[in-house]
Amino acid sequence: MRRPHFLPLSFLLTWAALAAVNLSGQEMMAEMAAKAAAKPSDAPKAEEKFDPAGLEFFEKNVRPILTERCYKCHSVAESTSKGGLLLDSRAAFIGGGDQGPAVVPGNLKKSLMIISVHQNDPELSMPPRKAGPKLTDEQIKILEKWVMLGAPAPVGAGAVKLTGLSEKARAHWAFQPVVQPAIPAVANAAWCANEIDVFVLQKLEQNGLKPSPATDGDSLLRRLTYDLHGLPPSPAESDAFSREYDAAAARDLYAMRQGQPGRAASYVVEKAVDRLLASPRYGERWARHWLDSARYSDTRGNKRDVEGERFPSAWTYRDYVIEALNTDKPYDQFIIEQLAADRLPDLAKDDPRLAALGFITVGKRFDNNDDTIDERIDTTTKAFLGLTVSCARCHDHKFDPIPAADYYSMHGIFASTTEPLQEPVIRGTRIGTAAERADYDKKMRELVAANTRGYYRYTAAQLGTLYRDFAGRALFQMAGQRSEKGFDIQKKYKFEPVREVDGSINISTNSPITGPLARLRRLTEAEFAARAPEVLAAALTDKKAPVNALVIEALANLKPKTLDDVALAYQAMFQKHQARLLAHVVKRGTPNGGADSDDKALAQLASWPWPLPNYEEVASIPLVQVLISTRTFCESWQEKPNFRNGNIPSKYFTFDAVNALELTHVGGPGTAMVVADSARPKDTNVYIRGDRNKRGPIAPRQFLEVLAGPDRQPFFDGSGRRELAVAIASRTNPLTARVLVNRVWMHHFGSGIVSSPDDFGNMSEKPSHPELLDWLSATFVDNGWSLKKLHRKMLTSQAYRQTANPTLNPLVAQKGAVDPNKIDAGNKFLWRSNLRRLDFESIRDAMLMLTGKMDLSVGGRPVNITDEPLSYRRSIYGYIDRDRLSDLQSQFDFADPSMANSRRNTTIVPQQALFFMNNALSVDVARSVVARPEFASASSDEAKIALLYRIMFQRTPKPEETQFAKEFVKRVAGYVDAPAPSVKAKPVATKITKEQTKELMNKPLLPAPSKTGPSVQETEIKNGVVANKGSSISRKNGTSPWELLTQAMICSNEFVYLD
Amino acid sequence: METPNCSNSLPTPSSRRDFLRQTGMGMGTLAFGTMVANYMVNPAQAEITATLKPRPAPLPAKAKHVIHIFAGGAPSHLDTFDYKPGMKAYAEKSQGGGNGVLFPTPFEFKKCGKSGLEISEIFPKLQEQADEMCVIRSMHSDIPAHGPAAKLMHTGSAILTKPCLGSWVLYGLGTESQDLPGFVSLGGGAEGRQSAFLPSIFQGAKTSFRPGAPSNKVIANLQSEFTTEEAQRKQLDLVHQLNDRHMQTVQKDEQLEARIESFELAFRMQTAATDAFDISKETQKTRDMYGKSDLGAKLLCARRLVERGVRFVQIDAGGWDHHTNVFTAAARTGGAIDTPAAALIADLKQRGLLDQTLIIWGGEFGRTPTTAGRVNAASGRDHHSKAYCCWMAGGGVKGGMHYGETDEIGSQVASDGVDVHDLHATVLRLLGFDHLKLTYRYNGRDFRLTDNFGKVVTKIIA
Repeated sequence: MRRPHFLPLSFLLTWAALAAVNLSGQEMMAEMAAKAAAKPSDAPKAEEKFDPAGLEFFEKNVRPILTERCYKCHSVAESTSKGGLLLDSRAAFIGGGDQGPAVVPGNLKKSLMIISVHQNDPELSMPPRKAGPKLTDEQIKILEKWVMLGAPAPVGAGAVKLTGLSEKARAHWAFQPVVQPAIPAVANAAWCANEIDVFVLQKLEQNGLKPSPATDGDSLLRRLTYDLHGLPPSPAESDAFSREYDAAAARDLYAMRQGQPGRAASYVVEKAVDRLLASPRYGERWARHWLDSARYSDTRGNKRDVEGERFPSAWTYRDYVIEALNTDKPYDQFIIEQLAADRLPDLAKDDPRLAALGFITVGKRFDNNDDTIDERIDTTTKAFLGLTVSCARCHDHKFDPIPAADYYSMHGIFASTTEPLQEPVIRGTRIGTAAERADYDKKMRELVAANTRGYYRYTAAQLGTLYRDFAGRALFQMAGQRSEKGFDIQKKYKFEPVREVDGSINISTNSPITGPLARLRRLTEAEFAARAPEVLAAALTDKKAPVNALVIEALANLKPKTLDDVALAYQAMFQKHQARLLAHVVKRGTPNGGADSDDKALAQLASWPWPLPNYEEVASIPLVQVLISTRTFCESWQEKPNFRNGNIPSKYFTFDAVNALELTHVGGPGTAMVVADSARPKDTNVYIRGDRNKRGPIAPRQFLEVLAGPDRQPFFDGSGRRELAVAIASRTNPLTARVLVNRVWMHHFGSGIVSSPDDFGNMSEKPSHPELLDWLSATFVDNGWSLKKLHRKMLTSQAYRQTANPTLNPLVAQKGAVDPNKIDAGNKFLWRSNLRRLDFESIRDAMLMLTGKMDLSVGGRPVNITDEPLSYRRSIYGYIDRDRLSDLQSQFDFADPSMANSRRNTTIVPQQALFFMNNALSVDVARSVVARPEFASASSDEAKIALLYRIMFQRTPKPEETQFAKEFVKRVAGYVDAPAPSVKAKPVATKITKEQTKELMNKPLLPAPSKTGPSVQETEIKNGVVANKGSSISRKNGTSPWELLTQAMICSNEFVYLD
Repeated sequence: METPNCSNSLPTPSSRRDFLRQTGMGMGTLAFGTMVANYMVNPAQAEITATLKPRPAPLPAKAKHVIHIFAGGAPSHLDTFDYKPGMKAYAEKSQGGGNGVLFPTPFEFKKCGKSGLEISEIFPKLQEQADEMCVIRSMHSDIPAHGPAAKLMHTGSAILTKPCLGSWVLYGLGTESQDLPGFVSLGGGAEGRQSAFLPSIFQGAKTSFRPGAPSNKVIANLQSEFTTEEAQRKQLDLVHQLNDRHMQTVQKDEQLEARIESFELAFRMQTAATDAFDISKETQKTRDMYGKSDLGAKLLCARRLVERGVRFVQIDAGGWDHHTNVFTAAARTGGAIDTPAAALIADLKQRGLLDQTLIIWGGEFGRTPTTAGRVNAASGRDHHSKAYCCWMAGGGVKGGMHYGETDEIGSQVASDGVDVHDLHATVLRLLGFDHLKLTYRYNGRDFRLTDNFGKVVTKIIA
């Protein structure tokens, strides 16, 4: 077939097929063009051509059967391709569906279509029973004849399945540019504190709804503080804020009555928001949200055992995120650093920004590198773009305009990204005292020395085994370890197989040691005695493969009758020189051991089969690991030491201790989990159906077509990571800002404008406030991608300030015709605030704060946040093991760290209740609160209860609440002993003066962390996980009535819900 | 109570009893079915609720509970349930290609029961239960490595983090247990209890059950070490009062009600779980029947849990990785599960629970028909995934049968192959689900246990 004719023909045929289903010409042309552009590989094969008779047979006899019985589920006309199968064209038959080709021309047994219509296999029967009877025998015969004819049919435009590559999918709102909308007009403009309110109010008014009044000062500050810090306000802060806010609200009311806009309350809120945003607690809180999206974990997650499983320095990435948020790093810069900090222009070797690359590297690791790459593509596209690009790994995305080729464009980028052996130390991360540092250095030096020496000790031991039984082992290896012959050799030579030794016996013709043996083994037993001398002589004198002098010496005069004789001669040689050989190994393994001055032949013999670099060449942990796990240090005739089932003998190597030291010692430096562009970046071929053995066309490294547009250019700079980062962080990218703004909104309002924060594609629900989303996105970018400005805008809105109590909404209160509970039960339009449950971190951190023992230092190595001995570090600093998440975390809906998960579930299970009722932390809180001096000195039960309400709920109790708390204490006193616990806690002021109020309002909430920086909580590795050092909570004292009362408050709904 | 779970206004209760009456949560007055026990509510999608409320399966089915005994390490099919008498003639014959020599099983097999099902002598007690057992001899997979293969067996995916079988079952059926977790894991890796993207209410409760160890510590935080039960009861009554006041300020809300109930559930669980895990409450006769081993205790515990309405019990019964010394090792590992498993079948049957309880036993793959070198007492078998076996009993499975065949040396499946997805599809069918329809939408895609695969093995369903 001549090519020039072919393409137009296929094009026309497809055109005809499409025209028949009433697609508009324009839409179809565009679609065809898109397909042609995206999938050049799918252009039909040029060699297929059928005589008109064959095609006529198809149209006359086969097509009617298909039309009548198959097209309902398998045709473009019906827009369905069940099982991924279309039956419109030959390319479609042959390309097949999810189960494989429907038709294999000329082969009835392999043609699934034929198998199905026979209906012998209930799982592979077509048409389905409910769609009518089986095809008639005659119809089946026609189909079989047609398959045997070679399945002539119109070729069609490739095995194109119905995918997300349609114009309709491309027209999806999220792929359209962000356009800053005009501020709409609303009736009740006086309600609005800022632009957000106007958009919210517009939707409310359109739906006949009214906003709810503002909540009171106590509850508003509680909301703000939890939202920005993940902590409750202190009673003093609460008092101060409420006093000022409530007074301002009264002034506003007065002003409005005078016809003036009231801005006083907004001013008070703004001040509080600014104060909260200025605290380091903010970064600690919001880093947790980002780490959910970035699937942060301290472990690799690909091993069942513990060895080598922990990342010793993932925490530097976590600290980078905290720092970035606290300094309000522009979000576009934040993106670029996380994807390509190694390519920043003004980068120092120990630049803290390098830690940002942990975004790529703290993910789950797989044995198959393609899976690791897939994980990185998935996280990158979900976290930054809200796109599920990894759905296109095996086929074009089913719903979104992401062809498989685009997936492999990204694959090439990550496949061209490597992880350097040695992670760079970041400046500012060594925070221990001089003594601690010295201790760390000493311990690390010892470990490096022990492991480096360990290699030589290990090698010497293995060589000893090898030399002792060389003949048997070599013959065993040559015969095949699992063969009968091998077994007999083992019996004859009486040795125990050692897989690590036997498996390393490398016998090859180009080896200076085993070359002669390799040549002699080719002789049959019958010819051996006769031909061996000649073969041996040739081997020993071969200039192309020079043989080791000691081997020549051992074999030169040998007249072997059997291969055994040769092997025994080798054994004799090894044993003759054994002492010198092993002494050489010791020299190599001694710093400046002088091994280089040893005899060259001896040195070479000693380094068979395992390489023997000089001590200095490998004296670091990563290098020792390279030495024993890769061929980097090997000559072609050498073997890397192999370890059965990956078990590295702990007698010689202590990598787990190294990892534990790096992870837990406060005197150690922090390193960055960096990546680099590979020396030879290259594009990936599309893997057909995700199978790396079936290569399709090359997919150039470039950005997604739906976002970059038809004129996109392939990336050329290294792996393309930097260009990818820039393309994502672009102000013209329609997704980046929207996705981020939506997440921030979700965390403040309880639900996103788009309900699926990691999927903005065609399967997502429509945004509840599309114009607001665009206004926020455009404003966010215009404000220099500042997150803090974004928070400020949202939190100072009137919408945020609404009460969560639906009964206070004017329409509900009036009990009029319009019931918001009916019109908008899910509160999509925000006619009130949402009731929100605190997440695990906020609950635990609030409890820590109440103990008065919370550790306020920022950053540092991870601690155990779930088990005793308790740590008083904030939950963000918890050690996360993605494969063995602690029960407590999973019971409290911690985001699964195996992939990006930006939204937490809020499930309720009884194990949560058991935690509040019985866990030591809960008791610790109760004991600590009751032990506060101001509690003890409170004048009456009423005063004690009032104090507890301020401490626990940041409000004043109602009279009946005081009443039943009093009754409880009395009632329960008969059941428990009431010993006076002796826990000492810091005093917390309850009554404050106006001056103090003023001071408080202008100060950060909590004392700034000490200048020593990150915490020095001491930890150790126990059973493979991080455990805290310290003591457990005492079980001796029991729980007093007042403590039981306090603990009941911890158990209550009010403690864990924001209203 | 006439309308147990829909009181709109909540008058102030004067006591716990009043409170429970008003909110329809009186103990013993109503089935768990009407309790709003667990919720996942997203305000924007109030219609999406995930609950543990028991619900009927869409299709008729007998099985209501599952006890999955995971025989980790990969048991040899040739020494357990797939008899190849013909191999004796080829003992020590090489297969070529360095695969070692054929190793016929050193064990005698017996045709057992009325059905004549062939079972190895390492299971003398199970031999007596042959007529209840259905052996699938034609299991196969592509993964001969323990880690990923175990993951595949539990979750249907060797690579990705997906929900395990038990979580899917709990998601589909909820649980009848009023005061115990619906899915209990008695040991084993995280892959055997993880709910992954399914809401965490469907994850298996991790336990540290050991015979002889205090049963009130089997679940973390199960009982207080700081106060008495009486004081805690009073405390909980106070919590209800606090919650009631709180509810008045935010109106009735499903989440808040569910959380209130979860505390009552937890309070009952303190006693109920302590009791359920206490096998010393069984008669000596019953305990003797299960034997004195840890496994015996676990299987007995599993029966106690199922009896109390627990939906799914996961048990780890590993130790099958016999690269050497099959003769002694398989007899030992097999012997360890023989008495407990046979007792479990018999015990469930005598209590009339076998019909509604599906027992699954099996590992992640099988073992080679060959051994290195020669056949002798030290001979072992290596990993082999192309053919292996598992068995099921009860729960609507046909007893006294085997399904599928391997070739004459048990190396490849010869007919009626069953892969892990097929097994999962079949288990779901036995519980009343079309595996194609039990789906969960996550990140824009409807996921199912069987991914894009799975064929129900209809012939083993009674």
